[in-house]
Amino acid sequence: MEFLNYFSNVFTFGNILILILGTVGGLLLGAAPGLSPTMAVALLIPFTFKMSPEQGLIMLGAVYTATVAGGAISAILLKIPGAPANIATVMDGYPMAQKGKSKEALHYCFISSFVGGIIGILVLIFFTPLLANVALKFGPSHMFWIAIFGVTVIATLDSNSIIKGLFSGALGLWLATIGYDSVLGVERFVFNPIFSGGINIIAALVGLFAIPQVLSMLEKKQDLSDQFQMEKKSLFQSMKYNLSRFKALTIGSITGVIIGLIPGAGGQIAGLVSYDQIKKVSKNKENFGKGEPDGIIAAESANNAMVGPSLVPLLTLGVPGSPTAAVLLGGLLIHGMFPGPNLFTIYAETTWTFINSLLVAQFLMLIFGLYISGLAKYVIKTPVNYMAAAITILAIFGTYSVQHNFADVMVMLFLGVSMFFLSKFGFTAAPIVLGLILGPIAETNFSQAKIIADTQNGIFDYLTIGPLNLTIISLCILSIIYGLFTEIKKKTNDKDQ
Amino acid sequence: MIKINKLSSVVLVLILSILLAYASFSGGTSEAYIFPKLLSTVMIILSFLSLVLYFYNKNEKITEVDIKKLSIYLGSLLLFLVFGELLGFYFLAVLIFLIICYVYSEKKNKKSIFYNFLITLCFIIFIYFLFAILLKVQAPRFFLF
Repeated sequence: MEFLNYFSNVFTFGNILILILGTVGGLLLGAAPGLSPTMAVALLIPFTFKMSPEQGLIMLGAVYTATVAGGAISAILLKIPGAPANIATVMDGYPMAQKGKSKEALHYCFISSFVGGIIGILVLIFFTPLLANVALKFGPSHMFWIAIFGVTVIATLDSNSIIKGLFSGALGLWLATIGYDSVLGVERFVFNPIFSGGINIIAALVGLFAIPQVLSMLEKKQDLSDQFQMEKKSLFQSMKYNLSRFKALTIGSITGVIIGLIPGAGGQIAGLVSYDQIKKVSKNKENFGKGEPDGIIAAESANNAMVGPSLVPLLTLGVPGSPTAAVLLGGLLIHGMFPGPNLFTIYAETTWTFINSLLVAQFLMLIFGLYISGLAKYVIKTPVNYMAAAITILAIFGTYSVQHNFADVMVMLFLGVSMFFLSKFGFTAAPIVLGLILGPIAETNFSQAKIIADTQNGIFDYLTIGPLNLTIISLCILSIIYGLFTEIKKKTNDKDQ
Repeated sequence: MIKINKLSSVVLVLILSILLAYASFSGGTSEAYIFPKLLSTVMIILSFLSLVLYFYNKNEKITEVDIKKLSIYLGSLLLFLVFGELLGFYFLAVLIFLIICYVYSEKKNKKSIFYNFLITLCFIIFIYFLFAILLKVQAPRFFLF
């Protein structure tokens, strides 16, 4: 209960002000397409130079928490996930908004994020030393399969055709190999110097999600104000319903906690895996993808439950549990704080104040998030031409701001326009994006596994032997079989109709 | 209007996988190419599977792309790609915002043009404040902005 000794530190005027600013700013940044939590935290790190270590970390932690939840706003209203963690939220959030239930969807999003977030932070507080040992058990072969599992899950979930989904995932993984090989340092597929650094994930994320959506909006000339009718839904009703969805909340929170502990996995996997799990156990499987609240509840509770545990391996071992946690590591280091036991001894006051502030940030995120969801109608009522122009400009500036590189803007626009045409061929963006995100994790671990395996019985044995390997491989196969089964069933139903 | 049917999708997948496989297998014998080779092999298998499935089930609806309607937007993106660094982001952002707002607007009277200018100005000021002042992002500029 050491954390209680430092709880009052959070409630100083300066710290609370920073928490509120970080939360509101994080919600708005998260809602802006392209401004991901990783990017928001990275962009804010220079601002924390002048702050005390405590205040700097509070700011970064609040922004991290709020951007993950805020990303759901554009995911639900515009079908553009504000962050990779919100990819799963699009699947049922946007259909709900189309049915005029955007306010209700946003209520579920913030309430579930709050529940998942609180559970995640409590795990961070109480189970840090214990869970750090679990994370240590993941070797290169397990990490490789986890990355492949992430791709197969999205390929089977976010696509009408499993073959196209898997092809898109493999394409994303292939695109991630452009540039220098991280283990051997060999340059690959750099047909133009702009690709020497590989494809920037933010550029790909913005391009693949934002630009096709804009093109689709302009092609159909769909006026969002006509499309959506904001029905009145009281917060109390939403809260009552949300909390009654115990199964979705539990699956989401537990999945988020487990995924958060796995180094490098991140919120996108947490959201997608929990969505997949709740879909499998739900009695209303056919409603998923058409506006099923459980889809939002599971995905949002998972991506926020991931936040706390993703800091467990970071604070104890220096191994970030998510890409944003990796950026946050930079925030720790610039203040001379190195991860490890010292954080809980020499820097105990700063560390526990930071962790406690994450708990308070969840409450602020709920309050401000619900308030902002009430203002969602203003986003919806924006005429399509203004929306298209604003998203395009924001996407261009957002992409450029990551590395100050014009090539990223070129890649973003190229990928975006290509994705629009690919979508007409029946492909979806999510598997490509996830392939791009997980590509470096998969390849680096594959290369490391190969180096280790060369001294043992070969790569095949190394990747397939052991209970953890076999469990993850089985999950990959099950995910594909389930996808095939669903696709065949859907086609049979369509034929019958 | 461009019409897209299922066969064109299958052909696209096949061509794409062959191209990527060619790039992966002609890259050299370095161990750095093992992973791309594995992936392109998987893509080739998947594209052949989709070809087989096409002959098994040919019933598929045809989708269309209204390229004429999108040409102005695509042209403005091309304008940004070609002149982005030369003319500066803010200048081109104003231009593109105005073009998109005007071309895709329902009403094209004096009042709506005035609103377009006003909204463009407000939005660009917001972008400038957010990126140039708050986040210290130095985007390429032209003369004063």
